Amino acid sequence: MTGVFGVEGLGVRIGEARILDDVTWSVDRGETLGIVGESGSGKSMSVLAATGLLPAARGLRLEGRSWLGGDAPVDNLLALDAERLRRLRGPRIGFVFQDPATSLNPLLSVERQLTEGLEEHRGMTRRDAARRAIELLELVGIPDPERRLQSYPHQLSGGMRQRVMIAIALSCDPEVLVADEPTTALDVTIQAQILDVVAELQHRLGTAVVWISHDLGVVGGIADRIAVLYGGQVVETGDVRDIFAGHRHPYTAGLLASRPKLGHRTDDLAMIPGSPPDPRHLPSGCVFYDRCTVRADERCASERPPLAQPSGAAAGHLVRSFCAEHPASTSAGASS
Amino acid sequence: MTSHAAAIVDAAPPAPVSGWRQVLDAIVRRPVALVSAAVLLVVVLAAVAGPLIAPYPANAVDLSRALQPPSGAHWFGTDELGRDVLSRVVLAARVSMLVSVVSVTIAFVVGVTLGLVAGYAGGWADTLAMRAVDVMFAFPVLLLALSIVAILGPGLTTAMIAIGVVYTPIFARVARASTLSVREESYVRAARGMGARPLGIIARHVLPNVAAPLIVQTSLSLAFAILSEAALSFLGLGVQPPEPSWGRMLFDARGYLDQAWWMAVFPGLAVFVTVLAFNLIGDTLRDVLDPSGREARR
Amino acid sequence: MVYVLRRLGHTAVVLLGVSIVVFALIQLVPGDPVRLALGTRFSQESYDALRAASGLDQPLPVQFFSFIGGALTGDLGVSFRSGQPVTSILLDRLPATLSLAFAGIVVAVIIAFPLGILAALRNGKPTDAVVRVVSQAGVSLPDFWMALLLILGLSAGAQLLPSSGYVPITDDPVEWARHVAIPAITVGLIAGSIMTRYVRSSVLEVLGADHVRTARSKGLRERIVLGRHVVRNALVPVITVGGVQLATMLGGVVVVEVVVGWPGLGRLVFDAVNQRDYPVIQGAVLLIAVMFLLINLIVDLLYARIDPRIRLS
Repeated sequence: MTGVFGVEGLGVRIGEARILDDVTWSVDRGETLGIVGESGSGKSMSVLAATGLLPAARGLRLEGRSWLGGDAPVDNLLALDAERLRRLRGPRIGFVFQDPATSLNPLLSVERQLTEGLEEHRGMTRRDAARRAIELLELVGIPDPERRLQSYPHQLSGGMRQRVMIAIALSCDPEVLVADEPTTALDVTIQAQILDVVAELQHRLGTAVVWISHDLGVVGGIADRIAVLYGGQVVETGDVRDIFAGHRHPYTAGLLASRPKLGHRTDDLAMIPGSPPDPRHLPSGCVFYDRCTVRADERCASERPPLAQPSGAAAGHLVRSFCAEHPASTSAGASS
Repeated sequence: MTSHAAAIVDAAPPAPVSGWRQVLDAIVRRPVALVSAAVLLVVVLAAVAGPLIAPYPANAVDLSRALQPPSGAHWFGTDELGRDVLSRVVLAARVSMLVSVVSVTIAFVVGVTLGLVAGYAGGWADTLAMRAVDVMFAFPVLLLALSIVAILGPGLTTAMIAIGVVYTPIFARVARASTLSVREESYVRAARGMGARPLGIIARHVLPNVAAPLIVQTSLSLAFAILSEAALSFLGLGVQPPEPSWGRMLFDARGYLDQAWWMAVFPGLAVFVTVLAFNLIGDTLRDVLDPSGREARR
Repeated sequence: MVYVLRRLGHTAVVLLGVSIVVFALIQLVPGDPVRLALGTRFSQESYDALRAASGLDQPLPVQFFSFIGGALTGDLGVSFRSGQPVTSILLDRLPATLSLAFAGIVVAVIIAFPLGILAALRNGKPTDAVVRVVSQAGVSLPDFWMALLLILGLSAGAQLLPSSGYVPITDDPVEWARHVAIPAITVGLIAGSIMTRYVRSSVLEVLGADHVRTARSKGLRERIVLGRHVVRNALVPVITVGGVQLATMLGGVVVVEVVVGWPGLGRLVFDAVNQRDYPVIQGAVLLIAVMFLLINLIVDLLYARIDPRIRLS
């Protein structure tokens, strides 16, 4: 598989709940993969599980593998012991999380939180690390970095905190940047700034970016490829244009239709009626069956559709639906 | 107490009382709580029906049988005056339960009223009340109780009043904290908007929602009240002899540690087990009613 | 800094309230305190002298202000019993109280920190349950019973440690340690149990915090994650309860002091209560409350050191 980071057949079970099932996605150098889904779809889970960041839980079982490509490939991160996996986090993969207010340690200065990783992974002295920290702050567009270094998180605005998080994530020059809902807790205007920062960094450094979000609008703006998750499964994946203009899965159609559009009245927001399935009682057929208004195939209720390329679709465009072969029904699909 | 610490203590949000059935259910399900409840039942039984259960009277002096180790006739042995330790332990339960129940009742009634009013009224009344509470918290529990005994003289009534006064502030604080959280809830503001009288609002809307942490606190305070009563009795400042009390029995045991370990072990065990039972029930109550509850003041 | 000033102001107000309460002590006694104190040693001259010396014939406001004034200059009146100045009696007892409190808090911390952190790390596993039950038992222990049991076990039978008495640490550290052992273990065990629960719940809460996830995501060693990101952030509630326990050891461990014959402030109050020696009671209670407020102030200042949000708002 080409690419710098990905998962293959990843599954996560906690007791009798199946959180993730046969999840496969990958991201390449300089490319942005958007992972989209509602809360509870497992979108954050897949990266946390892939990198050993899932909190220990009773009855936790992992299946499948996650891998790193590039110059120093790692065949299966999940097969590594905790110590080796830890050493990959930071230098190979960097993380940005959702809420910068709580994701930064309130008691430590910005400098400390930037230099920690450098000291650990690059063996830098405090002084050298501090110098590099200033460069990193400049990289993410924070003005007056020498002074900001001495600040504490509570003294920074939300947007600045998130920039600091990005700087931290990139401090050890990772090949992949994983951003888990990085703009959800921010104002819309700040959101746009952060998107710009990430896009620019990607352009400059060639970092692969995995951008997780529930907001298709945001993701559509920056992603090159998209993976749509529902009920712990990948239901559709492909190039961003194919997903937006040529989607085949009824859920994707529903997601797209439920975005508020300029010029349309917001009281008529289309929603997908119902709610995501309970991971402890997943249906035996298509995972979206209960909320689907298409149901064009008789196998929908009983058989689980495989993730496959439907006829007439571009290479790399995969759909997990029996209805994918009936293009006419999906675009009319699950919208209001 | 410090403002920061006060903020931690004051941060308890209210939780609706889940109902007695749920509480009983939770107790039955947890073996620890079940055993504790059983222990408490035994203690209450001893307190109420002591004379019917105890094999010997409390003050049956018989010097010929002094300082005898535990045996078939005397399960807990005898003390320096030949009195049966088991009977005295059983009969002493009355004092402990009486003092703790009465004192906690006083503390509850006064403290909760204060806290509710302070929390609801706000403003300078609140500030004044809370400063008063802070002042009381500046004294260690036993010291405050001792001071009150110094004024009123030793005795059963004094013990009840002293312990009641000492535990009033914690109830005030818990009640106030819950009231503050509830005050801004929409249903309370709706009631105010409709012109309901403050007392009515407090009684009908605030009280049920602050009940949970208060119930937890009551259980914990009962536990510590027993400890305080035993300490006062130990010092000779609580209920006076010849009325038996666990604390006093421990005091008497001091001089006979070499010869009669049973005099020290059993009364203390009674206190320990009772307090532990109240604490464990309090923990269970907290799990059920108010999961974010805070520690009580010992 | 605004924060420090605010805390000082608050402390001053509470201090005023405390002095009012302590002052009121002698005023609330039903009957005549001087007569009660003299008891059988009553004679008209000693009564008159004592009454004049304690200023009880002055109007109330005058009494109050001279009380405050005296307290500020170190004059807390004289004992009804011995005629000695209260201040010197208190100073006499202070070293014993301080050394017991010091030993006790050391024991408490040695117990609470390792156990609490361990229980939090092994949350849900048997170790956690054991720690919780044991600490719950520790909290429920009557301190005087514990002291008696320790004497029973370590002193009466085995003769390992003395059962009572006091040796100042400045005289003979080893003997001091032998004498302070039983009261310190008693007091420390109970305080330690209380603190263990706080350490545990605080660490548990921080372990699940987002910033800990961030620290792990940076690939930091677990040791550093715990030391730099967990323990420090968990300290605030722990310091609070530690302060309360320390304050309790300074004046609330009357019974333990009585059991082992430790000449501390708590025991002083007890003796004074029995003797109706009100000036001594007042002086001791005031001193203890003041020490408590001081500890709280120090704790608050410590917060400001640890938590930049408080320091730099």
